Amino acid sequence: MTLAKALVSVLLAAPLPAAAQEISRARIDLNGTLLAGTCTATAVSKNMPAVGVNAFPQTAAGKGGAAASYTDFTINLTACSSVTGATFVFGTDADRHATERDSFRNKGAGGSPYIAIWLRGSCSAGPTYQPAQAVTKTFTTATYSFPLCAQYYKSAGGLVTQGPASTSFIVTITYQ
Amino acid sequence: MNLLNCLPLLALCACPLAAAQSTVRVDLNGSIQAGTCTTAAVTKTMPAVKASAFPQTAAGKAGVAASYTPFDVALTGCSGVTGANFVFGAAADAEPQQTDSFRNKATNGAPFTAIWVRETAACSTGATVRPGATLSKTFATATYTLPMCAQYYKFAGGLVSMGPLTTTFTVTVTYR
Repeated sequence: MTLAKALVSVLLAAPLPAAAQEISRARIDLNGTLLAGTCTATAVSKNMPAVGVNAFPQTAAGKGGAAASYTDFTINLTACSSVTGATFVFGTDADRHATERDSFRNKGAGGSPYIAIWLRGSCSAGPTYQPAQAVTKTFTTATYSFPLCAQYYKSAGGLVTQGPASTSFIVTITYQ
Repeated sequence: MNLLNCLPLLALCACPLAAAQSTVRVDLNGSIQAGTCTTAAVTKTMPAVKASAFPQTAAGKAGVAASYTPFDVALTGCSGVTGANFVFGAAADAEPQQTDSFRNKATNGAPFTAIWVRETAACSTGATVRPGATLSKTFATATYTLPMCAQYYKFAGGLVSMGPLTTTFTVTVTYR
């Protein structure tokens, strides 16, 4: 009997015949995004030279810039981390001069309506950066300087009269 | 299985990620000034006249026609100028006893004499231009001439006797 019992026990412990196994598959999707890094941007406040009205064309229809008003400045980005470039947008359409649409309007209280601020990449040459324009630059270091130059510009329509000549706008920088 | 289906959906919902941005305010402040003209110094030699041309009483006071000396304050090369203020000397240039005339600044000058300046080309008429007086003129061309006339003047206090008679003053021109 003891043997008989032992045999039974052995039989019970034997592997089950090969039957179909239950198999589950779990798909795992992990979706993420790496954000561009950023830089530290510094506000710009520049005093432009006072120039006489005689620096401008003396006819109502005349238009032109004034070399005496050339004002260099830079938009400086520092402490850039993981940034490979950036798109700079210079103000908005609301910053445009009424008739000289590629220049910034004179926002000085009581300022001459025939004066605008012309923004260029450099003073005597270089591309014009008009309001709302987007400009993309690439860079690979922790700092970047965007050189610019502002100057007064006479628009057509009347003679320039004395008064303030000022503008302000927001540069929106989107990093890559 | 429900859980497995949801995971990809959740990942997609997390996608609209704003690009890294920063903004920079740019302020450009300047001014337009009035234009200018070219001025020329005036040097005139006034006629020599006899002491007898003046009133012969200590209290007498009058100008002397024989000393009439027309001169011009001339502006040329005006650009962008719509007018100007002329200030004739200062109160310190006045004869203390006859404050609407310019004092005789000559060393050992003829006593009781001053220089009477009038706004005129005719000398015998025209408004008195006293030391420190301001004349405001409007003009729209590249040149402007302000006609003046000087003459000797005896003021009260004593008799005129021989001696030099000279004055000098600065005209300050402020343009508009």
